[in-house]
Amino acid sequence: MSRSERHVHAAIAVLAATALVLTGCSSGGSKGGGNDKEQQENAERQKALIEFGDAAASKGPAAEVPGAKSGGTISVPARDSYAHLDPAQIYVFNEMQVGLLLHRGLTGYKATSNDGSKHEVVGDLATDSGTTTDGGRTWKYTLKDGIKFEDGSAITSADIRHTFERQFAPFINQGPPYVQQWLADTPGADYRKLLPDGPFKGKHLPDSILETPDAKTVVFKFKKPRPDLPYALAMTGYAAVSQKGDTKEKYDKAPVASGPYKIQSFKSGKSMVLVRNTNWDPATDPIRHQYVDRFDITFNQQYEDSTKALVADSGVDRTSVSWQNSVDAGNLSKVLNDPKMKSRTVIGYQPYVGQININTSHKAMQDKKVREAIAYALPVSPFVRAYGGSAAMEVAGGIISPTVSGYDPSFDPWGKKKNPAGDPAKAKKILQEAGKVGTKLTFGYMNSQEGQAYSTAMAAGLEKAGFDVQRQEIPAETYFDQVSKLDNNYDIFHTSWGADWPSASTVIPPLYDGRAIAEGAQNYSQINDPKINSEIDRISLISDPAKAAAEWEKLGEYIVKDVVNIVPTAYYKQVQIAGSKIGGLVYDDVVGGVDPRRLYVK
Amino acid sequence: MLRFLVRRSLGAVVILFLLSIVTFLLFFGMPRDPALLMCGKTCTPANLENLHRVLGLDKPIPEQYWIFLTNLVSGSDGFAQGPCPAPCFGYSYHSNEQVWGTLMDRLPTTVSLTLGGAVFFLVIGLGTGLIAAWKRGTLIDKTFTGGAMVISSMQIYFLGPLALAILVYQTQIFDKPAYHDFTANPAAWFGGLIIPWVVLSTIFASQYTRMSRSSMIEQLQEEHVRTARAKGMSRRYVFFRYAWRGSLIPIVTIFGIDLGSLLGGAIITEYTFGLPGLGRLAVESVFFSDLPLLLGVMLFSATMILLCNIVVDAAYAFIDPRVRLA
Amino acid sequence: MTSPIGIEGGGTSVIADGEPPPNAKGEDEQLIGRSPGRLMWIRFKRDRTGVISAYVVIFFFLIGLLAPVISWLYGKNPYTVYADERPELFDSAGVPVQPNGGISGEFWFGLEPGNGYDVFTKLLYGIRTSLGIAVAVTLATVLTGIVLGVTAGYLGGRTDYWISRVIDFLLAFPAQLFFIASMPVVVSLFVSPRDETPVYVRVVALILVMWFLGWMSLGRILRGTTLALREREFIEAAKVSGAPPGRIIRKEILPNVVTPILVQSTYMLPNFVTAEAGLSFLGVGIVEPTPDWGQMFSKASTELVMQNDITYMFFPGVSMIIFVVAFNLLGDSVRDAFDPKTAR
Repeated sequence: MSRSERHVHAAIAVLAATALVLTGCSSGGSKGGGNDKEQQENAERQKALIEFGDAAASKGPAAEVPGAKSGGTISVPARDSYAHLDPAQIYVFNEMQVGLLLHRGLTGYKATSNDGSKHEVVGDLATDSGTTTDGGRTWKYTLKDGIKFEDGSAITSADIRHTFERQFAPFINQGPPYVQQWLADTPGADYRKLLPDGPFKGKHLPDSILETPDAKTVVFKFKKPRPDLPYALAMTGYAAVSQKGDTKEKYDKAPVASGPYKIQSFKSGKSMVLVRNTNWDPATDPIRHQYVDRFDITFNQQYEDSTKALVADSGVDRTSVSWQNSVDAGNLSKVLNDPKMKSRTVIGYQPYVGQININTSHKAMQDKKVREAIAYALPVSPFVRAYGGSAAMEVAGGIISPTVSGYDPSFDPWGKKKNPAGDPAKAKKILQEAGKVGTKLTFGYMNSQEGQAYSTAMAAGLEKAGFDVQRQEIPAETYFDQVSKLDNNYDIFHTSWGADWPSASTVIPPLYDGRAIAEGAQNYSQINDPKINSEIDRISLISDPAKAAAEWEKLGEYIVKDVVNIVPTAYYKQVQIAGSKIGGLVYDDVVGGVDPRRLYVK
Repeated sequence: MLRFLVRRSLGAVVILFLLSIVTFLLFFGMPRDPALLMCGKTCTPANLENLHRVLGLDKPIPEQYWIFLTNLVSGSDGFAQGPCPAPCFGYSYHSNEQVWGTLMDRLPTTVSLTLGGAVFFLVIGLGTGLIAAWKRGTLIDKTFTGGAMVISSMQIYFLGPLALAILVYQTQIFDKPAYHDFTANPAAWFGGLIIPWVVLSTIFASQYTRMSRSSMIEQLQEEHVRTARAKGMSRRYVFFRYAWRGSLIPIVTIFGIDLGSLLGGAIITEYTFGLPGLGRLAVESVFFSDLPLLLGVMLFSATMILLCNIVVDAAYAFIDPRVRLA
Repeated sequence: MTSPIGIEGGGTSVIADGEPPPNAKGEDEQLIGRSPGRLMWIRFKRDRTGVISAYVVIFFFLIGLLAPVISWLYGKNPYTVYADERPELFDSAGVPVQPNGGISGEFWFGLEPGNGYDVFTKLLYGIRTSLGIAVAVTLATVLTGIVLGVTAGYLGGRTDYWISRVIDFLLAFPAQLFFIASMPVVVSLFVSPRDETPVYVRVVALILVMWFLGWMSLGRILRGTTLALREREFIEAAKVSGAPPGRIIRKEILPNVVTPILVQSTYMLPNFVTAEAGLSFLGVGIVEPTPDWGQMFSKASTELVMQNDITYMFFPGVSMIIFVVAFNLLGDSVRDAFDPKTAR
């Protein structure tokens, strides 16, 4: 998922002046020592790959959370109200979190450890994570028995068919496009031509594309192998929608729940109450729990407010936890340095990786020496600084995030982890050898507080290496439109990208496939490298996720080290805190935050 | 009196009309395309063109302006987002909310900030000004005038962050300023606005101190005041009964202007403290190239200023019997 | 739309009464036989507050003018990113590790949290930028005020009516809001959105925008003064003797409006300085890395600074207070010197 929504908010954040900040002296020299250890731990965490679970793994109920108790109410302060609750419209982090409690899809991620680090894709509504006999062209799912919507009606293959057909309707325009594109076998927005009105005017997808031979069976038929389907179906965006209860546009405010909780009341921008869904049968669900009676969600709670309340930890705040809110800048050092509080905090990665794109459609940038010089000279420390230091950002070596299968913490071809301020001397030497000193670099930056801060410092670093840097501001709200234009003026600019599921297949193909270069597409660097293209084709067909992950990692290293169309900057991180009576507090790497499914009241 | 009000109101309407034209024209000079902004991350040229049509951006500017005017006066059902009763400024490009509704949402914050601040700065400013005039030439006078001189040279963008840094971030005595609904929780409302009030009124009060002092001293030299004193009335009586009343006239003028511009949105104050009032709405609307919102805020803000000016002028008649409204 | 009682000062309430009585000299002049300018100078020199303020103001202008020289002597510039040059002085969020914002013998005013610019040189150059803009705006508004105000007052009739209406209209503008709304527009008039916005364009845009809504109060005062002068005998005499209007305005009227112009300018200039800083504070004026007074305030209002480095705030804050106080005191003294009747 691109960070564009978040960046539109960043525009507001300029006004609100909210930056995640690490407090002064506390983090001076002391942190450096811990870093290596931390990275080793990360490495340990990432060795386990996410695999596709079989029928046995997909059986409910989910393994008990140690020490969990039933009952009680948890209060949930949240900054942003939910703009969308219709699963097909959900593509934003905080809505996905609440979606975990409300909606069930054909597949889902089952945590296989209690620390949120190990996962397995299993069947959720389906009996397994999917079976394919032809390398991923045809996928068959069988629905479990006893699965129901909140109104008590059984979830059948007709509902699943409806779920996917309505993805093509014009009013569904916010969710992920993957499965639709695969079904229609076209990139971009052309998939809508397959079923322009969705299922609402009597037309349906033919059996040659989506087949539902009986009430329990769903068969997806793709023209090309799609080995990632189980991952894609685990997105909230593809969760089941009740055919009977579909109110089209209105479904977005009042969806029919299939998960352990249903919406009792929802006042947009104010509050939401979730209560137990009595028609949810734990025996059918391998990934969710239903410990608390009720969640009271309050919106418009800024990070400072929620953190302050949770730090104070009195009264109702003891049973509070925010799913969305991070610990705010002001309290970060306090929280991290107080051992009592530290036990109530979780820290983890968000799925985003920042990178400076080098626009290879420009003649001057087609010289690999110039790109290498940029890679050596570019300081990434300004980026880490601008977003609040090492508790919010970690200097990146490669483009594969620690949350994605195949991450290698030792990969650092440009020495950024050791020397985040860049190596202008080496860069200058390369430029001199290539006779390119004084190369003009047009640096497009987002006109936000952070953007201004890091772009000025990055420009200063590049200039030391002998580049002539021209900074150009781009309004925050149209930033991504500007930089994704094919004919743009910018030689270098920063973007970030998060995997939609923990596989590099949602990172490398959309960002670096030369055939995906298009107006508004995300191949920002406009790189068209034959080896990348052929490797993408090859690895996309590997159906063993572990093998694929290793291959993606190799390709990722080739891109960063040998193609140099981008320079990775940082992995996004966050710290979250809960009240002292909250149990089951876990930072889930796949969720990218606190896992709401495991929470209970102590 | 009635004739005066009618005449002034008509004048105000003309100014608002001209202002709306200027804003409208200004907007089309903006370097951003609002349709592009709404189009989002999966924007195709076809979508963009469609949005242009939906937003009415493909029509000539005078026609767009005419549509805006008729909508404003008579409301419209033509919006895709739903009906829009008069006064209809249309729907925000960015949030898709009705502009009038958004203005009304933000108004309580601005009104609370302004009125609360006004109470503070009037009491403090007039009080210190009177004391300084009463004790003219003494150390108290010099302290007050000197202090007022320095404080009035401070800016909200210095004093505000300083207060926040000390009271909120460093010592954590107060919560970060925020707006809470008065009817729901008066204590939270008060607590959330106390820092902005104090900062705002510190800077404003210092001006009122200087003004009420000099105005008072001027009054004490007036013929009628000196006559009263010569007739043997006590200093205290003359001071409060005669001079004070006269000294209020220039202060009412300035107060009216201040109140008007604050009600129209105290931009820097709201921006500094992160309060969701009209001033911040204005900044946001510029940020997002949101013409309906920008027009709404501009006109609303100008209306406040003009309205307060009219009220001030009418108020003269009550304070100063010599003034006749013609 | 005229007010029954003139709301001359308009817009801001910073100054109590900026309008001196137009014909306040005369008697003194004849008695002693010195020129009014000379008299004013003598009176001003006697005013100790005024003289000190004048020195302070001159000091600020000197700083602005000599910023490059001072920085050269000091050996630093406001553009060096010390957070990358000397990472050992900062933590990972860019906050100086040493107390008091990293003040040391090497960095006299400390280092700016974030990118770690040198605060001392940044302040020097910031003052230079802000004062430069304010002076330019003052000159432009004075010129406009003279042209339109004197024209309206001298010609009277229809011209006067329309110029007065324009003044009324512009005075009713929500000024700050208009500044914010028009800055991006004005900038885009000069550069296509594709090109880098050079600093001078921002500067020119700031000057234009503030000039547009800055000249009215002076214009109105000059109109009033000219209107009064027009009826005086010496003008009548000049007219009768057949002098062309241009000559009358140049030789007879302009020398007589120097006083209100000088007095008004000393009040306007600090107002423009604070207004410019306000715009940069809101992010629509001068932006990083160009040093600017207001931009330093904007930096000072970030959580990074408020949370970690309160020291930083005081450098732009205190220097601006000193400047504005000195300038306002100077303005009072100048007015008193011209117009000894006003008791302060």
